[in-house]
Amino acid sequence: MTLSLTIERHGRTALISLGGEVDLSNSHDVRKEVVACLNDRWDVVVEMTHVLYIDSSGIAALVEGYQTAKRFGVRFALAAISPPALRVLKMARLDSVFTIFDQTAEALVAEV
Amino acid sequence: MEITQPLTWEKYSINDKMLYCENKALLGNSYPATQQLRTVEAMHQTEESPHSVFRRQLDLIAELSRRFADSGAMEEAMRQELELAAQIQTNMRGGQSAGNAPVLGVSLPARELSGDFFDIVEREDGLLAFAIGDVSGKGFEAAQLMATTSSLFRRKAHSFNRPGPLLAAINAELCRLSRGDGRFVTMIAGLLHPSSGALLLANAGHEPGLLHGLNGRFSSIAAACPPLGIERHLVPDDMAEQVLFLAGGCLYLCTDGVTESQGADGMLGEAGLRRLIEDAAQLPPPLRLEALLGRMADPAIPPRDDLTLMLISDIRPAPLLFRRTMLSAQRLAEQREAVGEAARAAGLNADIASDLVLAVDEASQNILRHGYGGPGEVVLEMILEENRLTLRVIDFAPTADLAKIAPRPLEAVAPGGLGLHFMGQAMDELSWPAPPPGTGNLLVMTKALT
Repeated sequence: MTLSLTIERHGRTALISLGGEVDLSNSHDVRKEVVACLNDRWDVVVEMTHVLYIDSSGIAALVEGYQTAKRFGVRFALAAISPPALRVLKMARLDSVFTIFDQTAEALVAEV
Repeated sequence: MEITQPLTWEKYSINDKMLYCENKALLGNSYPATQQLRTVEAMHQTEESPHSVFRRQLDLIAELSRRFADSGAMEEAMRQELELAAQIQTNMRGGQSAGNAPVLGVSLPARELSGDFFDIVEREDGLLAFAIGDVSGKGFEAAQLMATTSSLFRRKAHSFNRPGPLLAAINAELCRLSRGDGRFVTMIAGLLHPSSGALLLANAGHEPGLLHGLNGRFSSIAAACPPLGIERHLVPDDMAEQVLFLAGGCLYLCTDGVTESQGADGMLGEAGLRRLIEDAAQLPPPLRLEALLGRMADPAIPPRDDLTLMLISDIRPAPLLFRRTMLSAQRLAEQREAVGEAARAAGLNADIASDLVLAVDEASQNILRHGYGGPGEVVLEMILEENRLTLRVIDFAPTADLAKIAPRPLEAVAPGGLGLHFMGQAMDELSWPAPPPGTGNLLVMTKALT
């Protein structure tokens, strides 16, 4: 199972949907896309419904997104996180750091 | 047939006394005083190794043969001395052969004096040093060269870090002592790291070692250079060594007396040896050794050559998973799949399975990123023992500075450095013990399954 990554525009928000396995072989792609959207000063929602696995390098890409957004004064949120991904986020105690929405629709409304 | 037992010095003191008494009775005043003194000294120096006593005995036989050449007393004297030497030599073999030991060995001489030897030395660092050797030719001269070689091994067994330079050092010494009579010694030396089942082996002109894996496959460890004692440059310090992993399997070392032994169907050969090993594979190692010997040494056929066999077996539980792969970021997914599959096959629940997958994945990517800086060889082993799961991850990258390995504080929200924390969360304990010889780093992660 490889990574799937799609980007949709919703107003000023980029919805990045991740699926499959995020690991050392592809986390730099996630990082690149997240940072590119933020560099263009878009708000970013990362939808993680179909993430089957995420490792520390994938989590690091999200942390970098969180920090970059803060610096640029734009919003960064995670939405609809799959149980395996949430388990890893909790392991790193990052579930209290990120803005997290249960549903993608909520995240998009909140961002508008 | 007798499997040699662990030895203590006490056994030798009896022999020494006999040695002394018989010498005196036999030689009377014609025997040189200095020689008598040396023999008496051997009797009293209880710390002296049996090897040097044996060598003295051989010196004495040489002396006898020079002095009593053609005399009628010679035959009887030689017979008695040979008997004694053979007795001492029998006692010399095997440092540790009993019970559930990881290294077992046995040697059956074809005549009184053997040109074969094996030795097992338990070291203070927990490693087991072992060696098997075969001296060309037979009889007295071969036995003398055998004694020299095995005492050189024994002298260095506690201190060497790699078997290659050890064989090179023994070779240099044998070449220095060589009479140029064409005699040589084939030898395998190795170090076993019992807790990981890792072995570092060097083979100088000896019969290939045979590793019989848990999956039933054989791999053969061929000689990397010519035998010892011929020329110094033939066995260089940097001779090729091999790192092997028992992984629930067993390594068999033998002398050519084994493969050339005659059974009812002719010579055994390597194919025959493999069949015998397969047939005996289910037996516990000590019984296996006996069973193999029973099939090799047909009592109806007098052995033509000395026959020596060693078993280096994994006494730990068989691993749920063993992998030795050239790992890269692209191959991490495949490794996660294998770990998950092994955990499921062992009936572990899904949460524990994903913890194991995460721990192995994070450990592996640390190795790729910080150890190799790219793809590299990674060994992974998963063992379940009494409700405790152990993951061992071994690499061949430069040994890491332990002081620099520490999980980052979680309060600092920063990318990177999280992997170690994940490993610590997923497993109960992480440790980096001294890596097996020939490898770079060993990470041991354990988790109690309650």
